[in-house]
Amino acid sequence: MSMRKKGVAGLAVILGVVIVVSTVFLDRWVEKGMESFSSHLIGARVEFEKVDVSIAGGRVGWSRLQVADPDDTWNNIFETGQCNFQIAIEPLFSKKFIVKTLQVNELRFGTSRETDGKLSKKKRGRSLKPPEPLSTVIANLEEEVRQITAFRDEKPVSVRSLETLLQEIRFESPERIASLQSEVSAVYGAWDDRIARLSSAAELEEIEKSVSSIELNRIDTAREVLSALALHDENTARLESLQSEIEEEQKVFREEVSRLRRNRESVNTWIQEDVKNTIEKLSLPSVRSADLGKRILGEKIVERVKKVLRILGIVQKVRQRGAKAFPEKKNTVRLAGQDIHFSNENPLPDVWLQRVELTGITPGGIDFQGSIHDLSSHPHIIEKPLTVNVAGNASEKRRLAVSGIIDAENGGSRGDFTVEMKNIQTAQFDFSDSAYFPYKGESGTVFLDGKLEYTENRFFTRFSYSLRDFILVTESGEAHHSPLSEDSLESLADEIARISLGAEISFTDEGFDFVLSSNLDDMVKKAVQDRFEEEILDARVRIETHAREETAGPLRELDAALKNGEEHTRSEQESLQRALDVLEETIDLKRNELKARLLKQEGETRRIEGEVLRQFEKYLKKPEGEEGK
Amino acid sequence: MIFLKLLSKLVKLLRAGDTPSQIAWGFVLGMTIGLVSLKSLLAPFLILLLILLDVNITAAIFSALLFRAIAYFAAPLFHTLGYWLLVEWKNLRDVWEFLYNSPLVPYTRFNNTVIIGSLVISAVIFYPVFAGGRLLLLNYRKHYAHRVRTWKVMKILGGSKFVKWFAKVRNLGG
Repeated sequence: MSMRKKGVAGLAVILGVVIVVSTVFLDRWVEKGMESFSSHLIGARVEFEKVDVSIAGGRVGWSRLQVADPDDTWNNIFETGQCNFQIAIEPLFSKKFIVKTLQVNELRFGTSRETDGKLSKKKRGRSLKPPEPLSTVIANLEEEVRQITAFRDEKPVSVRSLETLLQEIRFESPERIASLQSEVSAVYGAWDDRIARLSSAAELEEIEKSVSSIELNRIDTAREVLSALALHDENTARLESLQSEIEEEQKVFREEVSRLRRNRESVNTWIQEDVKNTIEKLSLPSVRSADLGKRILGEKIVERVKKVLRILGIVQKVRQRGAKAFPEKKNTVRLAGQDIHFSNENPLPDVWLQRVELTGITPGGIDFQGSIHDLSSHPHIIEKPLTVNVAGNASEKRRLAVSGIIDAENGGSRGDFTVEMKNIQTAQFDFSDSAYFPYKGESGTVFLDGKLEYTENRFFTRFSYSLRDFILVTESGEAHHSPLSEDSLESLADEIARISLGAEISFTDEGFDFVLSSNLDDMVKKAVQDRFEEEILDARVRIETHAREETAGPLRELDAALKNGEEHTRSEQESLQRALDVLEETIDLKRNELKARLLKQEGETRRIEGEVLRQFEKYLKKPEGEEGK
Repeated sequence: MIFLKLLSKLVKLLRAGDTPSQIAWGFVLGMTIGLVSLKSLLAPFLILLLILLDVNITAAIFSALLFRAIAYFAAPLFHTLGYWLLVEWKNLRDVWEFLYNSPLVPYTRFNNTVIIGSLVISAVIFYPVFAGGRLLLLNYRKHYAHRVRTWKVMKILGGSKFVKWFAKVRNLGG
């Protein structure tokens, strides 16, 4: 097969044209490509200016980079000045993007944009959602912020006019007391009936008559004695039955009395409930110490944590491109096929920034410089942790130091980080939007250190944050709507020389937990209490007095009903008991007489029996002939 | 006039290499381009071959279009064959790993099931199609070409304005 001479020449011409055109337009094409790719990844506009590409030297640079914040597209997450990076050429042939050094100059955070950094829906794509568990943690944190915002947006508390309220208020306790009184009357009314039924005159009269019918004078024979004894036993049994019935009723009565007395004791609780409900209607502030730190500082903390998690999410997304050695066979789009990936003997990550040298300026005006090593899409391949070391100084002894180390672990990361900011400026420390804490810091030292661990289904971070030697100033005049007085706020500001907080965010199989505690909890609670303490005490006393006055009448009636009912029922029971006792005595007397009669009857019977026996023996001793005489 | 001259040169380029071997080579190269995905680095390599080698480009374009259509329907077959080669046939794993870690080779996307499947099928049918095509052409030219020229439809087509214009353009500039 011969070569086509004209073809070779034509191809050379075409190649030449392509090289010339590429040389002229390469910078622009690379710029567009990087902007498109990064914008899609971030979810907001990423803009490069004056991109300069040198293929032979493997160098790329640009004069300015702006990365818009997806949550606030009129501001940048950060922007840079001149940047240059050196790419390793050979790995590019294996689709690996290895940056040997990246110099980032004039790095600044949170700068405002001249144009909106929002992307069209089409360009934004679907890659915004961070992978699990980060997206769940972010969703839970957003819910926390909603709750905190609800607290923040509550209107400032105010004490309503007590006089007006006392005129309007209708206590529940007088009605409840009246209801109890009705119950008492009903109960004792029922006892009247029960006692009347027990002390039935007919029953007692019958027993009495039966006892009287045993006339001892008329009892002559043993048979009559036995008959009287039987009647006596019957009377005794009837009396005992009546007695046990009365004892049972007395027991029930005692229980009933105890129950009514207990109900009477509840009356004080009812009055206290009325007082409490009335105080609540006054809208007096009630601040729980446990929630204050989270409510005051939580929103800002959560916003900062969310930003960090979003960046982690982007890194994680890139990592998830990692290949599977034996993928499942799956149905694919016609002609698209399925990419099968294989292991690598000398593996390299898809993207690896071996060394990043930074210089920049913080929002607080501190010039900083530092380096980041081994930022990689596949940290487990390079087996090196990501390390960050940044430090900066400025005038007035201001200082910033950030250091951290993040290690890869089972598809997640584990890391320790510390941040120290000394003598920072006030404008950058807006602690809270809460009305309970309308302060700005003027100067001080900030320390932040913490831990971060997460895998595919677990997330944990703990960090502590302390601000020392701090000077706080309040927002003056109408700038704040704090329920606290100016004096309280000023004294609180004087007291706070140090703010410390500890936060812990965890997400496991057992659920999500966000705990934040701070020394502000007790300080603000005390300030709130001091502010309202006197007012609350005064209101409580007046409401209690009012409640006592309202309930005094019904309470007197109730006590009278209780006393009268109990005394009446007791006296009825006692008179019944006395009647029974008298009858019992009569029966006992009768029994004794019967006993005496019986003994006497027994002696007579024995005497007659002896006489009969003697006569009989005598009769038996007579001779037979005398019998006829 | 310049446009017509350029068009004439293009037509001549397309008609160049009209021996049976050149036409058959053009046909099989076009076939491979049609079967293999254009997203693979193999496609520009094959097009480069087509330009550099003195083969019939018209035949190549025709077969590329024809086999692209066939590839669309045969894609499931390519996928199955490719998956078997890449995943299920373990003996080939070392080969794939070697290629996977070699510079530039990953850009051919050989690790895609449809691409490797279509490439293997192209390789298998490459010589039979070339030899068969060449034989068919030789036979055609020897036994049937003069008969076809006498067909009425060919005479009508030959007398049409378009064919006359085409011949004029072809012969432009000698």
